[in-house]
Amino acid sequence: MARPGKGRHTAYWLLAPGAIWLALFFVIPFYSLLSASLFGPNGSVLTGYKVTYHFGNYGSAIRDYHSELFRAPLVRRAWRH
Amino acid sequence: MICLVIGYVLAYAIAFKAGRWRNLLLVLVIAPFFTSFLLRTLSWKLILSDHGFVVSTLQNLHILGSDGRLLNTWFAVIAGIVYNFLPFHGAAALRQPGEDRRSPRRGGRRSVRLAVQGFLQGDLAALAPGCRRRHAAHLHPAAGDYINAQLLGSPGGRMVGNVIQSLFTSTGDYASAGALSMILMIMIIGLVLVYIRKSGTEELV
Repeated sequence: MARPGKGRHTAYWLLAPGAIWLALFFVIPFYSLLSASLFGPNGSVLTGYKVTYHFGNYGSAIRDYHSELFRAPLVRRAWRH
Repeated sequence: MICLVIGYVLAYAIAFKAGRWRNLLLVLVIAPFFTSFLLRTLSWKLILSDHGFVVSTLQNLHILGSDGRLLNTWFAVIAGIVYNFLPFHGAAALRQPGEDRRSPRRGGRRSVRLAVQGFLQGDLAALAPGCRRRHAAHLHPAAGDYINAQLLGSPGGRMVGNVIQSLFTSTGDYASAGALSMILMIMIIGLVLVYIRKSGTEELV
């Protein structure tokens, strides 16, 4: 007869490889991308980058690259060329 | 949309009309998956090259001008994307029973209206969930794809994937690249949520 509580953590051990995989290849890259998107505007390769929570990056990204971002008009463009 | 239309026809033909050729056709549709995405795209450079068979044939037929070209145009980019993501749609036929089904006959003779109705409600409707699922699945990699535009398109015609790649690797503007990636990710998640709301999660994968 199995002792009570012996297999209590089995499910967590079985989940561990999936959780580690998720952390390595999703959570960490996601965090890295999120912090990169909040870098300050004065950063450069030489001076380095700092997370300054500069949410204006999102506005400028949409403003500067909206044509590429919303390129459902891909087909419209194709007709033009 | 082009993928959806061609994929639907392809899946229909394989699932219901191919008969004993069904397995062979399925292998032919899925076989490109076994080679590198990059190689498959590069092969289109050969197919659409200025001195290639396709361009010279179109020039002889006066569909293209004497100096007309296909490579480095948006046509080439769209052709590449359609080709690379079409197997996702063709694979919708995998889930079908594979019998040569006919719409049920009503009486001895059936009118065209009944035949069309039977076709739409029968075979075509049976493929709809599979095609919809594949369409949702292939939208995500296609949205961030930059290989097709880089190899087959002109330098002026960029997709969002190209912009992100160039901001990260050439310009060093990590902030804009990160923000653009996050926006793209949010847009894709939004589309997935709309799909889940309409079709549930059972057929998402």
